[in-house]
Amino acid sequence: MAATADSLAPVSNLPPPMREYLIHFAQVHETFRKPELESLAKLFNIDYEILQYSEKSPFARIALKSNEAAKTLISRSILSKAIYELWGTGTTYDEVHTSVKSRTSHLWHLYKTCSFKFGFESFNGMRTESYKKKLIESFSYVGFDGPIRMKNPDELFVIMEDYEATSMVDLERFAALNIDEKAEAPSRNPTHLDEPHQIYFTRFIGKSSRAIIETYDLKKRNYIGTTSMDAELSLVTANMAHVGPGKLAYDPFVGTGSFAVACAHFGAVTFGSDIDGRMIRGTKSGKSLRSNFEQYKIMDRYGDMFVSDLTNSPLGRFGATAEGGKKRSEQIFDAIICDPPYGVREGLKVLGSRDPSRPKVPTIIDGVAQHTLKDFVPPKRPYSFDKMLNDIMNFASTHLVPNGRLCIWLPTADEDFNEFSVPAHRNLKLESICVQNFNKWSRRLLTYTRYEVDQDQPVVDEEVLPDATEETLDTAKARLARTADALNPFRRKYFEGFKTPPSED
Amino acid sequence: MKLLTANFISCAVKACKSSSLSFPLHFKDAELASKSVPYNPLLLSNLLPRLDWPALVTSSKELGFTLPDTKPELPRLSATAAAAATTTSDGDMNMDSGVGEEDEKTLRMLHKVLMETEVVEGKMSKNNL
Repeated sequence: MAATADSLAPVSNLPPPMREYLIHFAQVHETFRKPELESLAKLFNIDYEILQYSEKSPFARIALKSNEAAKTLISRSILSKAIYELWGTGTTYDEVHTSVKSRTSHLWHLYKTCSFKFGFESFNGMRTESYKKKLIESFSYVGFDGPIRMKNPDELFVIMEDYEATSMVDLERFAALNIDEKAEAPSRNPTHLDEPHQIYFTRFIGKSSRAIIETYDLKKRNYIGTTSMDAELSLVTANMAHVGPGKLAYDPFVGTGSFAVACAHFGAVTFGSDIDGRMIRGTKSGKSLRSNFEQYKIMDRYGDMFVSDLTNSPLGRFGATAEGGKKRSEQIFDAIICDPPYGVREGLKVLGSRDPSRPKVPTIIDGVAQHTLKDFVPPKRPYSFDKMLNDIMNFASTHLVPNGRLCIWLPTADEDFNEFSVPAHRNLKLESICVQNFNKWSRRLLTYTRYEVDQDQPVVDEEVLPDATEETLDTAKARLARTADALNPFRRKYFEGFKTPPSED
Repeated sequence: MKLLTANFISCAVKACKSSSLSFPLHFKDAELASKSVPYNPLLLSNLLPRLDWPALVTSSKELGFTLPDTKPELPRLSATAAAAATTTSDGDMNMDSGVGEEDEKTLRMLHKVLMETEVVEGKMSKNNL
């Protein structure tokens, strides 16, 4: 079948409804880019096929069914900049021109009279302004007669060049060249620059949400803490968790509310809790989690924030049975997202007495039971990181609605990478793992989907943590006797400076 | 605290877990505040299946709102529409919920009770004595 009047002839052999697009990614958080895109495609129920993708390049080719699908897919993306219709590509400009002519000549009349603009993007390379102009003019055969408008043109066409990574020597040479250019040196032949290894000619289709990173920039946020997740990764996490209008999200370690704000931005009514009530109550000057919601004018999506830890969470319908003796459903949230405490800045703690054998007697001072006071700080006991992961997985399994998502951030010492066991739960399907590398340690964003129905088979994997069970008093005592370091291997390695232990001879 | 939240929580004391009194908790000396929030039928349609209706009727009554004894049946609004719906910072969600007049009235009431009413001061307890 011949291509219809407004569709492109495919560059590669795509089945008829699919058309080729180019995504311009930001060259940051590379391992998060594809999972974010895949997550959004699933959220919007968009058919796609990734045709070309490399973590080394900001340009990726993707097949989609329509411009509408392309616009929708990119609209919420944080790690991409924009999506374009791919008109032609090649390793040289001759190839690009051939490609553009053979694929799009039947489309040129559509843009004959509209206002337009040509843009130019290079990755890892540079062109002088005068040479860019020359390259743009080499496309004049498309015959656009409309006015050229630098601001708000009807159509934006962009030439994109992707260069192989260049050496420092090259970069210095480019820099020197740029200075010459400013001094209006006699025109030089810039072809002595390395040539791009891939060139694309594209028409702009839709913009991403990347600009909102600035809106939620921590530097401009009313209330933040020492461990606030930056705006960019908070928003990416919200995308991974499929939050959206009409949905409920919950962060059990809400802190100053980085995730809560990101979830609310995308339309979800957001709940949060923290063992440390200061974040929720806020400071004397009125800075609080709530004031962050007010700052961003998203109060209509502020659910509730409360003081609690995961082992003593009030979320649930305990002890209650609905008519017919059936247990009441506790499936409440569409998304649970969290960055649990690593136990480095603050030791890992949960509510409870350090010595579980001590009888529970309320402390009474001046005839007032202290735990009834508003500023009562309840006793806390040390908690192990593994146990905490277990509790999170179990909580997600019971509190997520079918197909709800769990996003959890976890730290790892790099040398431990091989030992890093991905937490698993029979009711949670692992969707993706994204890695953010720091010097000597890294953290991972794990995304899970709650299966529609409970799975019978426990996960068969020896790496899996044992099922959380109520501990006997003796084992609890033995565990509590251990130090914070023993309970948390990551904390220990952090303070040892991630040194490799001396090998035993 | 919103009534929505009250419908999700029980007494967190471990020993109370098995007690049938731990859900729902009852408000005492509640001081209410209300503020206008954009009407969101999509949210309400998603919330409805997750609510424990008898508990909500009980808590609402305690705070002076009357809800029908049986949970209203409403067509589920589409999730695709949810994903595609734009998030505006104000204004009601512009979306055809496709419900009758009577159900629309119930939805508006639910919106008021769940989203617009907040208990700003008060206690929660396991029995309503």
